[in-house]
Amino acid sequence: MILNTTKELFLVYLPEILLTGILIALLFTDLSQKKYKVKGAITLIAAGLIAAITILISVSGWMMGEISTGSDYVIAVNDGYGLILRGMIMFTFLVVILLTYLDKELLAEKMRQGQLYILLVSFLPAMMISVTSVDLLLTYVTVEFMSLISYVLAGYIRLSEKSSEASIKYFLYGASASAVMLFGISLIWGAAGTFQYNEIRDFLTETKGSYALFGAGFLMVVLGMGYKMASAPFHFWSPDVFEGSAISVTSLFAVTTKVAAFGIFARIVHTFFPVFSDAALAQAIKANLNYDAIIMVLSISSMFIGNIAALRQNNIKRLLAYSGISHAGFILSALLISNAESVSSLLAYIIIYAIMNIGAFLTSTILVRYSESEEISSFKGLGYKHPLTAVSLVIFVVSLIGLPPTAGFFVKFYLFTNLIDSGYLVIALIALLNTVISIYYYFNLLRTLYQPEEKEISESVFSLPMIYYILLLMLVTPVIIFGVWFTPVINLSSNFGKILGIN
Amino acid sequence: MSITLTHFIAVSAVLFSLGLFAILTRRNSVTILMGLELILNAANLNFVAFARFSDTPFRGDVAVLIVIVIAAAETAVALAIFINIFRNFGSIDPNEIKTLKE
Repeated sequence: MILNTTKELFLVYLPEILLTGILIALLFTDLSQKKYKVKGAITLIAAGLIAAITILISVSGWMMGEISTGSDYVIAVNDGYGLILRGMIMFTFLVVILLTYLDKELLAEKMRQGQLYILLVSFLPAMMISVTSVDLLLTYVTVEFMSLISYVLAGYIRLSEKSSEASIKYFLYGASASAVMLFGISLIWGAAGTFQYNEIRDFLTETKGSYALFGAGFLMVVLGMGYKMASAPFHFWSPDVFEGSAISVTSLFAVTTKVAAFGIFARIVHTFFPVFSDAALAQAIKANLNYDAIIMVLSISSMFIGNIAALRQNNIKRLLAYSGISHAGFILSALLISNAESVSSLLAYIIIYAIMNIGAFLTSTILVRYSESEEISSFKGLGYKHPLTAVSLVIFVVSLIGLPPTAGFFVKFYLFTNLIDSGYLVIALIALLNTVISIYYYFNLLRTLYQPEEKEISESVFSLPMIYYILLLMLVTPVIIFGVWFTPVINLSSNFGKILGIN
Repeated sequence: MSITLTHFIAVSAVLFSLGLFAILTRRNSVTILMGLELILNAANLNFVAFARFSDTPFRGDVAVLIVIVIAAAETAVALAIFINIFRNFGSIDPNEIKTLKE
């Protein structure tokens, strides 16, 4: 189905339009108010997000099809894959918005609180459009939009040396990577004569043009996207930027941006090289361009570098950064799967990863607020003082490791069986080995929580508002329930998570 | 001698290499920014050149307009970041900015 009337486009992108409306409302309230009301802004954004998620399910979900701008030029698609990712982006963003209220560092900038929420919300539509894009130019514009706002957010705490260093590092690495990616896009345009994913796929199968030119361009696009996904060997920015930024901004970079980046990259790979829908065709492409070797290198090096570097981290944000790098390796390995469950194992992993990682960030933000330090060693004894938060962190971390009975175990199990089924036994074994390595540093974090305190620290005056307990419960419940009863996630991601144009 | 596609590609390849060289070797953030602009312009030249020699020309030209706007936005953000860095560190040499541990 082609969607090209104004009404259809309006309905498909209604969530984004609503969020842009909220952005404008925030701009005007920032201008008109003398004293900024943080609680009011958070309530407005949260209400808008819940409304946008509802609209996404009830309106945009019924409008599947290719989005075209007047002529037959398809620029984006509205498919189940994009809908699930848009939903996940908004859900994790909702948690991040609530997190900003707990972030002492961010809210210390009293004069600029209005700007913070404007920047955060302007991030969102770009991310949501990027996962629906099937045009390299639109992808580049949305990715660049996301990046530009990220650079500013990383350096949001102006007078902090750490924060401004994070922003310049993020900018120098990020802008170089995206400039090289743009050059790669220009080479792909030269080879294939189009920006559209589908037409590039046709070009690849017809073997009429220059594969060398396309291959060079594709490598550069992989560099740009690999940087956004923080996969090794393009991961250098990630630990520094995560450590320097305020913790709620870090959780935004670590979860929401990454969901978008994985979504974009997986759509590119699956549309260019449709392994599971047409095996003979895929073999023909592979003979000319060995793309799965590139993904294998990215995946294996991310797993090893992320896990080994995480072993000696003492800062909670750096630890979670390296854990994110190793998880990028697991998610990338899902792109190798060539059976019918390729997209569904990828989507299941992304959904569960987003939930457990945002949960880990939520609990660590609360713990940082209690202990007034980001060093893991300062968390000693918090397990006895704040049992609810600590137990939730234990559940999220056990799920991040991939131990039963949590959802993390089942997504890993599902991923590994599909990898073995497609003949990648070695990759599955390497992933298993890395899971074992990761137990060490995750358990170190948990052990610290339940160690006795060395010295009595002054009783913290901070008490957690009720809503955060509800939020914790909302995030812990799926991690445990899907660990025991995994069918809904598989059903959702395999029946609904279809990439339009390939299956 | 007529100008062919190869000539344009050669120029853009040289621009790209110069830009990459500037990014990797310069020790001043503003010079690195200039290197980035060179890469973006190399890509622009590619877009126009390939569009001129292909049968669907207009999309490449649209790409150039979009990239010019993005490059301007990027420069604005970059200069703001550099000013902030200079205020905090007294230098915009990326090698001297290392308070975060390796």
